[in-house]
Amino acid sequence: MFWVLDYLCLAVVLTGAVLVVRLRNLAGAAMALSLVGTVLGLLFVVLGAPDDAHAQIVVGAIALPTLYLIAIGKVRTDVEDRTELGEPADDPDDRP
Amino acid sequence: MILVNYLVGVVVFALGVAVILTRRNLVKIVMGLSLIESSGYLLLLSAAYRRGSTAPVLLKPPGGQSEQDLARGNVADPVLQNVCLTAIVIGVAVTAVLLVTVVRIAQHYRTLDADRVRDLRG
Repeated sequence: MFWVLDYLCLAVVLTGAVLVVRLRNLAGAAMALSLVGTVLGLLFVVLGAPDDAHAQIVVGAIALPTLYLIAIGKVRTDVEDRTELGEPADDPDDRP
Repeated sequence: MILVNYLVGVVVFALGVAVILTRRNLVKIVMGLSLIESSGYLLLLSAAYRRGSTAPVLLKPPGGQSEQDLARGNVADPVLQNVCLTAIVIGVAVTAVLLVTVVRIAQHYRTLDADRVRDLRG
């Protein structure tokens, strides 16, 4: 029974990792990474580490996808007022 | 065979390195780093597991085992589990910092392509 659960979780982790590599869609890749984190948390329960499973599920299933999706959304946003970035004006002569 | 766990960890590590080396999207590169971190957790906890061991929480002996068994230590290694817990917490902080850096680069250069960020060219 232990090895069945172990191999099942490992197969799903491997599938999720391959999906992270293959998917062109950034949000889809973030969701595949969330799948890897969640199933890794289940695998930690099987391996006898419930405290690590707790932390991994909180981080891998909730915190990391939220961070990635916020970052992807922010990247797509166009900045209206460049001075809000707190950087000097975009002068081509300033560039190294 | 716990060896399969090690092999899957190595394969996930290789996939993360492949993402970092072959993809040019900066967010995708950070995802590759997350994959490498995950393979580290898997390797640590697979090394902590012993045959037939339980979680290292010693309220009472698990079913079918006496306290003499526990005195020999048939629980998973708590030291490696703590190392893994530290790695998880540090990993999410490092990922957050990297993503903030990527967002700033994207706002400054208006691109996510690592090859078009001119200040990073050698």
